[in-house]
Amino acid sequence: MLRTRLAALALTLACACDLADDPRRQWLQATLVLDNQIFLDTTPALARGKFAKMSASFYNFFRGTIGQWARDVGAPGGAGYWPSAYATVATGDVALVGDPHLENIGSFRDATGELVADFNDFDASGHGPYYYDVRRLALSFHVAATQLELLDVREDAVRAAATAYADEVTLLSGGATLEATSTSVGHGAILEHMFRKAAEDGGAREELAEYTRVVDGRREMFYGEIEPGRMVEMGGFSEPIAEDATVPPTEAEAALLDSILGVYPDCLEAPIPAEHRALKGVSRRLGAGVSSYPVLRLYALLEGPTAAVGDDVLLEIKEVWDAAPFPGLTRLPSQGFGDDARRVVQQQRAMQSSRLNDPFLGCATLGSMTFRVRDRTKYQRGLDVAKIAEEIAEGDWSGDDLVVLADRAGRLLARSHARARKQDGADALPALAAALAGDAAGFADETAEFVAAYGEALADDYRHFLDLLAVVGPSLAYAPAAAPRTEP
Amino acid sequence: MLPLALCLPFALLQPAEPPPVPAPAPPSAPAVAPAPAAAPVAAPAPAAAPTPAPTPAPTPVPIVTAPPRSAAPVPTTLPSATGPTDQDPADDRRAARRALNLDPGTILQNQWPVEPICNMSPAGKDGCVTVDAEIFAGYRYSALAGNRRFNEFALDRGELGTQMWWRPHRRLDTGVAFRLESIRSAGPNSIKGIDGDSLILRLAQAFGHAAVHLGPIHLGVRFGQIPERWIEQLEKGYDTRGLEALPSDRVLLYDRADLGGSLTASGWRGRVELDLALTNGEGRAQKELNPGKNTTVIVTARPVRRDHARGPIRLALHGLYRDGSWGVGTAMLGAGRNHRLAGAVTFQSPWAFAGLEYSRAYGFNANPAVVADVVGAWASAYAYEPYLGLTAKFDRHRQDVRLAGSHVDVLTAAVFSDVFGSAWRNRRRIRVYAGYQYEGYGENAGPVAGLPVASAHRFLLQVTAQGLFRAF
Repeated sequence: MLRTRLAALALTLACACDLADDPRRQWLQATLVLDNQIFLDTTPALARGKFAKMSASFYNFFRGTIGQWARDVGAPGGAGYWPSAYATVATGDVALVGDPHLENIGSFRDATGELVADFNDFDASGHGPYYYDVRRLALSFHVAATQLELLDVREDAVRAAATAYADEVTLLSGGATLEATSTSVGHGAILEHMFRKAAEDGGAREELAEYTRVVDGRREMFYGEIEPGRMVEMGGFSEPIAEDATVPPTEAEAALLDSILGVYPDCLEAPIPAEHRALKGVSRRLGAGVSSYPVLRLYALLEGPTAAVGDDVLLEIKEVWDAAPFPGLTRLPSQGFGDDARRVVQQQRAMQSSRLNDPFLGCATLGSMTFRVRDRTKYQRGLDVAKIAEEIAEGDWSGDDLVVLADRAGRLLARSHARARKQDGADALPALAAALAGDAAGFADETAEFVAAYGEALADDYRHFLDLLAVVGPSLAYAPAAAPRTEP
Repeated sequence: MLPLALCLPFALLQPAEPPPVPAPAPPSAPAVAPAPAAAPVAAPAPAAAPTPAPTPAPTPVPIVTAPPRSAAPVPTTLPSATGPTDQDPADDRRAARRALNLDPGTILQNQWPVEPICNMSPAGKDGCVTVDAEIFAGYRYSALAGNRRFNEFALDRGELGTQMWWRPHRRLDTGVAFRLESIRSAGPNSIKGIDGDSLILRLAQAFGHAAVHLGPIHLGVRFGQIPERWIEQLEKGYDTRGLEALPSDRVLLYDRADLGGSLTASGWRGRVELDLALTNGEGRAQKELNPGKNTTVIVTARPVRRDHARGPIRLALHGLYRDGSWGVGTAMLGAGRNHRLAGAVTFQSPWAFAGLEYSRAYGFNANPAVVADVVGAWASAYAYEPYLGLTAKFDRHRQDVRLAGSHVDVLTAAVFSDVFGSAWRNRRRIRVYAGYQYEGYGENAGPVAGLPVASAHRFLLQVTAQGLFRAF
């Protein structure tokens, strides 16, 4: 025990010497605190849990630093502030996913019952230069390949994403139809596995099996761990994090949910009968997400079409916050969204293959709080780098499968950009085609050069972050303003 | 710290010198007075004063007021404080106050710690309360790159302030200042703040202050959420704030207020001034995040300091150095640097204002590695006072001096018209600007690298209204 403590102390002192005057560490620490200050003040345990979760892997760190990404690419002098030869004024206000990355690709069951792949997280969506999205997506493959130790295909995957994006824009501008990425066509082992599992789990209503229980013929919420939590060690510090758990809501949360469900139907794309929306149970979900780990997530169990327990519906209600601020984009005219939840929902409907990929998708605004509502069905299944690592370790998948996935992801992004209107109301596709001018190879070169350089900076940041946690712990040396509200 | 700073100068009050006085009345100032003589009133014997001072009596002090704004007689002296008159002293005192005891010939926008903002009895035991408000509102029509058009009405400033002054002793002025400002409730790039993105009020300044007058030296302290002295000092030579902020203020190199304390030493009625400030460094919108404090030294010299009948004439040289820190830090892991180095020349006169400012930031925009700077020059003058004036200003801001093309140029030119002239700018003024502004971004100035998407031609119509009243 003493030896462990001495080792931790030695590590702390060594890290502290390296970090003391490093301006990038200072920037990283300060901006992470600012971006999470609301959580550090109100729910400090969850905020610490977020930082602990970010420390667990390079990909998690990448996911948790969208705010730093935005500063880096948007501020002159930032590590990612690289001009693009393929940028034009007309492509400066394309509808952006905001945070398109490998793990934000998921399956949906559309209105025809077919499974399709689409981006599934629009928390950072807005308008801006299209190549921000392409670079972020390509960077995610760089980070994933690094973590998966697939260094031999890392650049191939990055190039595949950028080349496919440019190719798809050329195809679409040549008259190809905006088809969904569906199960009807082969998309490589990783996406096909996602579709297969989504079909199995969605058909089995696994979400009900995990988060609810049937007691005496009546379905009710389950409170407890679906997947056990764990302790994350950081130098001499440790922090417990939830993986997948539900807890009973507080009275305030339950009342909040009632209010949300009262106003949420106004935001639906197509009406859902009121009797289908009768509330049967509420829980608070813990452990989901990385960037949004501290964010309030409630699960609502609804009656569904009949009184039978088999067709109950589980909704997720998630609080939505401001998107990561890209410096300078505020100089452009207002983005035209009523609030953050409407921004997220409008962009999802506009950029996905169908506006009814999720018929329960909706929003609610209560005072200064905004919420996005979605179906928690297991037909909606996301990609997971940890799962890819498992399959690679078992020899089922290889680096080539990651490259194929990068290709499909690039095409998916191109179609998402092409579907939605630009901020000025014009079609994005002609502007994108003119900017890229069919030079997919040149665009891929430029993207790969950027990702190689920024990927190194990001890896340095990750090392800084781990050192920082070892020295100051998961609160990042921030002192909360006041007593936090009750935490789960 | 505060009591010590106040008490030490008091121990040195031997022998007493005349208290600080405003400059003599300008020749053109009308001298309509209810008192028998229009000339300065001679001081009474010490025993006649309501609160005789323990030290020798003050010398005769002319208290000059503003020129009358109507045919009604306005007292030019403060008889109740300095001697008997034919009238009830209390009536004279009230009349003097109604006349708003500010001297257009010597008043600066902020002449603290030399003098309080309102004239008070030189003998001490006097006080005043002022209320002031500022509104800068405008309409802009912008033509942005990419054939985008945008027009908007905007409220750039809506502020309400009050100051309470108390002179417990003829050598000591104390007071508190409180100021509210309007801001948009959502943060940068936020979609939603309070009730949408409402304009709300927040505390802009709140501080206590004291000034000790020791012959030609005036020492002042402030404590609380104190104003940025650099901006205060430069704005004395800047008459078009309603149209545009100072170069460094425009790019937020300085926050207009911060929590902390400051000590000011002013000699020979502002000819030389030294400001020392110790502040959190996080500005108005953030609490302290690190143990380091910002230490700021500002030196101001006014080689030309003349009082013309129509108003003050000043040429001032300014220099600043700040050792600052910003962001989260501990004793072991320091916060990021946030230093400033600046120099400026400002000129103020009843007819024209001009200035040149250069400020350099070591650590900027949350990034301690970035070195940024701004240089700006401005001039404004009346062509036909007060109905027609001209102003021009040019700023160049380099967001990262290491990065070629990271500059933003802003050129502004406008005509303006006043309801009142320049000497009245602190007290009451309604000014209308009509102008043109070009905002040009270098190829690496953002917000999109390599693209001048934010460059804009802008037509401005701006109204500024300022008022300062003595309420008590």
